[in-house]
Amino acid sequence: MKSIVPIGPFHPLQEEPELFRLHVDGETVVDIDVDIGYNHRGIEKISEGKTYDQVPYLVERICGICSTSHPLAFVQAVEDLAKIEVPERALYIRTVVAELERLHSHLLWVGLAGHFLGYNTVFMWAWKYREPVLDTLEELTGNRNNYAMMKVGGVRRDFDDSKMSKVRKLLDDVWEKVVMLAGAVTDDPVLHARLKGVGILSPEDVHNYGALGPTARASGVPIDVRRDDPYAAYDRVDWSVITHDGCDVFGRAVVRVLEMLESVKIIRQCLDKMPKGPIDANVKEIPPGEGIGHAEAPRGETFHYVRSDGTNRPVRHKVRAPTYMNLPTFKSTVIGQSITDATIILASVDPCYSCTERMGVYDASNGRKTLDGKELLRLSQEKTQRLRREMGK
Amino acid sequence: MSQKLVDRIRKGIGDKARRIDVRSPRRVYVDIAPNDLVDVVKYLFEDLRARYVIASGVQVEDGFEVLHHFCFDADHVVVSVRVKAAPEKPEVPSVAPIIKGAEFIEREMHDLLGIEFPGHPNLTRLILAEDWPEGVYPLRRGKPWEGKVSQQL
Repeated sequence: MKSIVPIGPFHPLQEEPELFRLHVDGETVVDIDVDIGYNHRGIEKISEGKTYDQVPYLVERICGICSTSHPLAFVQAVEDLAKIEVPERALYIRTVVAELERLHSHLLWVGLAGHFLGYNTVFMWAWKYREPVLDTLEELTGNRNNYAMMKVGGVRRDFDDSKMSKVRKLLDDVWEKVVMLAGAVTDDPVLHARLKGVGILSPEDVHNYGALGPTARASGVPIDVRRDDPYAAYDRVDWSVITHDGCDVFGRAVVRVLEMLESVKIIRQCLDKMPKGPIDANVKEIPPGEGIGHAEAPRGETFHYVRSDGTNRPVRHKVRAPTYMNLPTFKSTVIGQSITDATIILASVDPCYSCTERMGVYDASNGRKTLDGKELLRLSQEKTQRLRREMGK
Repeated sequence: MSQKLVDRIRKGIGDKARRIDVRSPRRVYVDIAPNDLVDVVKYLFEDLRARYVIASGVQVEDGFEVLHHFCFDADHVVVSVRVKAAPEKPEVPSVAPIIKGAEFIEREMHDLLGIEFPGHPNLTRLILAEDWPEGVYPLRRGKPWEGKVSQQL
C-alpha cells in the first residue's frame, strides 16, 4: 500500500514550520518532498530598514535556540566590510557566550533525541543539566536566551570577574554529567542496535548538498568554521574538531556529545586567558562595500553577506542558516528507511526540531488517517523497547 | 595562503575571470560573465572540491548581481563568484544540475527577486505562497505594487 505521510507544517517546537511529505510503500519510505516558506518573515528585507546597531537585535530573533550565532555572523560580516579590529577581551567574551550556547543547544538535542527513542530518562536528565547552563548565561549576559551581547566592533556588556568562580564550578559539574552521558551513549548496546546504520549520509552527499556542522562531521568530513576561518578567540585556545566516520544517526549523536566536552575545554581556557581591557572598538561609520561573516552555530555554519552603500543601514543583507543546507539531505538519508526510523533521522540533523506531533499517516487512496503523530512516536519507542527486550536489557 | 589558491583559480579558469579581487587574505571575489558561470562553478566545485555555501542575489543600480559563495576550508578562504544580470528579465544560468545544494537558493532568488535560472530542474515556488500574484517580487526595489490583495484579515 502506497501512502503519503505529511509531517508538518506547524509544530510548537519548531521556530520555522516545514512540511515533509513522506511517500511510503508499506513501512518503507520511497520518496520525500520538503516544502518550506510557511512562515517567511522577510527578515532580509526588514534588515534593510534597520541601522547597523539594530540589525543584531533583529537577527538574534531568527532562531530561539542558537540566538547568538546570527548576530555574531552579522557583526563579523560588517567588521570584514569595514576592516574593524575588535578588542581582544571582546573576542574572548564572544567565544564564551557562543560555546555556552552550543552546550545548551546540544543538551536540548540529546534530550529530544532520547524522547523520540523512548528514553525519557535521558530527556529529563539532559534538560535538567541544561538549566544550570542557561542560568549561567543569565548571570553573565542578563538573559537566558537572546543575550544581546554582539555589536559591531565588540560586545555590549563586560563579564563581571566576581562571577567567574561560579562559572568554573558549573563547568566542572557539566563536564562530569556530559562524561556520564557520553558513556551512556557509547556503551549502550540498545542504542548501537537502534541508531547504527540508520539514516546514512555519505561524504559524497555531504559535498553535493553542502551539509554542515555535526551532520557533516558525523560523515567524516572535518569542516568547522571555528577552525577553518578562525574568528573570535578560537585560534587562541586549544581544542579539536570532533568527527565520526559512522555516517549515521549514531555518529551524529556521538559528535554532539563529544563536542560538548570540547566546548567546556574552550570556555575554561578562555576564562584563564581572558585579558583585561576595552570591549568595544567604538565604530562610528561604515564605508561602502561588501563583507562576509560566518560562524559555527550548534547546527553548522551560519553565513551572512552584507552590502553597504555608506549609509547607516545595509542595502542588502543575506542570511543563510545551517538547516537550509541540511534539510535537503533528507532526500538521501530517509529514502529506503523504515518509517519507524523517520522521526529520529529527521531529528538527527537537529532542524530546530521537526514536527512529529503533527505527523499523520494517510491512506492515499481514500484520504483516511491511519496513523497519527502519537502512533508514530509509539512505533519509534516500541522499536527501542523491542530491541531492548531481545538483547535482555 | 590565499595567493596560492588565487593562482590556482586563475590558471584553472584562465581569461574567464574578468577580475579577481583579493579583498583580504581570506576573502576573494571573482567577476565572470554569465555564460562562463557553469564552467567556472564546475571547476571550483568538482575539480577543486570547494564547499558550496550559498548564493546571494543583490539588486544593484544597473540590474542584478548573483554571488555564488564557496568555502575553501583547508585554505581558509571564502571565494565569491559574481555574475551580473540585466535589469529587465534577469537571467543567470542554473548551477543546480552540478550542485544539489543550490536547488533551494535558486528557487528562493526566483521567488524574491524574479531572476530566471535556465537549466534548473524544478524552478517552482519555494518561499512564496501558491496564490501570490505573478510578477511581484518582495525583495525588488522600485515601483510599488498596485494590485489588490484578495483577502484582508
